[in-house]
Amino acid sequence: MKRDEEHYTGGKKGAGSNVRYGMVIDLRRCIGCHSCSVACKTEFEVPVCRYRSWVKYVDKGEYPNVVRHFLPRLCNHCKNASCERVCPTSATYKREDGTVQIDNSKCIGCKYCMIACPYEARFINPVTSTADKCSFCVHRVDKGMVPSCVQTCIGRARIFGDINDPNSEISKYIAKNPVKVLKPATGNNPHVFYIGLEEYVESLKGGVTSIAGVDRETHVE
Amino acid sequence: MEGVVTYNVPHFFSGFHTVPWPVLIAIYLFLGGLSAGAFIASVIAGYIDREKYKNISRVGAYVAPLPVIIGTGLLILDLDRPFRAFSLFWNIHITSVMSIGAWLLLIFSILSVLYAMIFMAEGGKIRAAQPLVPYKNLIGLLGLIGAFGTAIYTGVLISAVSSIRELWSQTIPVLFTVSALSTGIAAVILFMSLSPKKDRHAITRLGWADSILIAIELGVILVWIIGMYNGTAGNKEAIRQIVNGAFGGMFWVGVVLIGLLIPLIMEYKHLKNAQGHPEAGVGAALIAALLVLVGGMILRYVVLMGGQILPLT
Repeated sequence: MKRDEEHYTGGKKGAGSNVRYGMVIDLRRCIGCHSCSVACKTEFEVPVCRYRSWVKYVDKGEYPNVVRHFLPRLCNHCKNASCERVCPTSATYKREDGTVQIDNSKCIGCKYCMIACPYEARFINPVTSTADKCSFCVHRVDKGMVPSCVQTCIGRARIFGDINDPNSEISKYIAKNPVKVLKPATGNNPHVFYIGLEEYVESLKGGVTSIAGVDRETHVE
Repeated sequence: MEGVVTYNVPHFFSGFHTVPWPVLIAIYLFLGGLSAGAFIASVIAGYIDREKYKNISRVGAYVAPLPVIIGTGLLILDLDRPFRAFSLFWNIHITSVMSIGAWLLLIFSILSVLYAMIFMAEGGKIRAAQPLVPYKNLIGLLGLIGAFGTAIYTGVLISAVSSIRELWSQTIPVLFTVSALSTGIAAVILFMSLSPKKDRHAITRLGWADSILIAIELGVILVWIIGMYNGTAGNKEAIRQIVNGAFGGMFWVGVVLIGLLIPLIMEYKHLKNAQGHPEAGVGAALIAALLVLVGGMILRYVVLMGGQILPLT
């Protein structure tokens, strides 16, 4: 029971300069049910064809030997966030707890952050006409809850918490398991960690039957 | 069955939906560079010989203001919140190239308008601008700095995120600056050779300058391609899209052949004709200038769109 409580409160309440929120996505536990995408859409009323959180998948092989790999995606809340660096109006800013947030009242919709983001995490919200992306559900986290995608994940593939706290579940999980990040060469130092990413990356090499899932925008033609 | 990895390749008309920065931005990059190049040509021609090249100075000063103002208009049009554009001037973020560039564009636009007004006042056209005339040298110098800033900014704007878009290496600001000077001079040649009173001597000198810039640009493109092929796997894949992939035809035919090699040959023809025949026609120079402008536009389009093709994660 103690584990459950910690899991659903995200370790530490509120934000502070000694808190650094992060997320581990254990791909061994992901079954590709897309409930994270749905929970996120419901939480933020994300408009049609736009996603703050989504799942990419790769099919490999030929019937009957077919494998499908999943890769849940969201904003990586980078330490050296290139989106924050290029934002001309400081609409994108970093909170003390390391999460990258957008001040909608300042955004002019120049899309420079969309160009700069190596993770395709950003899109223009057609309702507000400003940049939008995953916020790590700070409105929930500040009240002691975990992000909606973490709450809803049926395989408990997502672990959220304070990576600066050595006793948090996420820190223990990172200590026990080898984690990797997406596109480390960009130097963005992301704080969404994956377990089992090698298998996904390997699956992209040669003989891919199809790559599907949504990017930051999909278009219904 | 071997699958085919597909890229999200933007096309001219679908560009508005599939990439963050559509063709409008490519047009701005071209027009901003053109203005800066024309302004630089105008001021530097004045520095070399104020009397001999007074037509270059005048035409350059007249060409400069409009393209950069139209380009800035296109930038504002591309914003999803265009009415907030002016907040760029007080919500300053010093690490953002665009935040600095907004000020740079504003200052250069104003200076280029003032500079053009001075030339009009000297010709007796705008009376109200007469008080500006004594400040011609100062405005020219400040504008020169602003023009170089604007030309470099068009390249830095997109290479500032080069760690992500593999194609946008540190060579791009150099390439765009050289192309800006080249297209600016081409625009001046174009207007000078279209005007009824052709200053053939000045056109010949501009033809020399443009030929040298075109040769430099060819060299920079060569260095860029070689550098990219010797870079990371991402660099290689990105440059492959440009020279051999979706934009291969556009790059080799539009940029290298139409925009650089043919103008170089036409300029050679023009300069050879002009040698010892001061009354020779300027048709070759006019065609070369037109092609340089077309090539400059295609270069911006290819680099901007090619750079936005996302590798798969």
